[in-house]
Amino acid sequence: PVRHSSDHGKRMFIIKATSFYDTRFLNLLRFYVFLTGIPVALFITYVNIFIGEAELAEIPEGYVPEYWEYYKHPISRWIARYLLDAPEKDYEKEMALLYVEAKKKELRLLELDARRLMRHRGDGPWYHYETPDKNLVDNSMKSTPDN
Amino acid sequence: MPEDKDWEAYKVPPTRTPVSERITSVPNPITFFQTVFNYVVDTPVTFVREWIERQQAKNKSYYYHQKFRRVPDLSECLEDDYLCFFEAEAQWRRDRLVDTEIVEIVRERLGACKQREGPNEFQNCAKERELLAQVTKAYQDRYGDLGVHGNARTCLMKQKHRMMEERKAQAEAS
Repeated sequence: PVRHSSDHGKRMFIIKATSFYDTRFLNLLRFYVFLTGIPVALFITYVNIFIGEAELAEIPEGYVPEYWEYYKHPISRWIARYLLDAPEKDYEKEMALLYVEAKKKELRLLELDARRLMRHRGDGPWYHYETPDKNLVDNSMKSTPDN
Repeated sequence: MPEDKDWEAYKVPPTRTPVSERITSVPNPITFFQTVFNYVVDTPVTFVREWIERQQAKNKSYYYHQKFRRVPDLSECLEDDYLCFFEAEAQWRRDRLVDTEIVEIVRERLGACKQREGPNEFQNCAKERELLAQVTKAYQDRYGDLGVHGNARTCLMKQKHRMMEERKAQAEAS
């Protein structure tokens, strides 16, 4: 409620809903975002101005570039150089995993084949079952035919 | 995105505006605005930019485009040779990216041609239009309906089907 008079109107006590929680939230948000945001922004500005992005060049004769020299921005180059493994190493790791799994698959198929054949033919070391000793068998009731 | 190296495709033909003689003695007001722009905007900006470039010249570094060796294709891999499959798949993906970029560059050339010619594009851009049509048809034939799970194997199967259709059409024609 406003009394529209210049300089000396009646002093009003304006009743509205509290904005305490809203302002507190926004202040805290700004504080915590800028706490790390500003140092990161300054660092990135420093890198962009004083170190600068790499220039594209043809690969010189007889020179094999290191794996981090394929990136443009200096921070990407740094991350590729010190934090990540070379893409060739990643490739070889993946191929090693595939090789192990392929060998496992072959061995499993061979095992299934061996099991099937040994069970079927009965001439292998597997599928031998314990049978009672033949000396324990009592043949007395089979020894006389008309019983 | 790598830029198109072929600047000949983007050449604008020389303009044919006639040189005009000065008739009035009133000086051209555009020169005033040009000098104002030069002092207020151009000089500070170039000064700052050159200072930045001098700082960057102290730590110069280069980056290169990686060249990959060709490995045996999926059609040259033996059965159950999973390592060969993996390498062929990686090579096929790289080749698909390259082909996508080629289509983009050809499309850009058509757009540049349209921009250059203005209202004459329907007459003068025939070569670029035809090149784009050919390139997109080839791309569609090779990578077209493979879908999001398309890999080297599905592409090879698509090629096989294409060759079978061709052979059937030839057999029917003769």
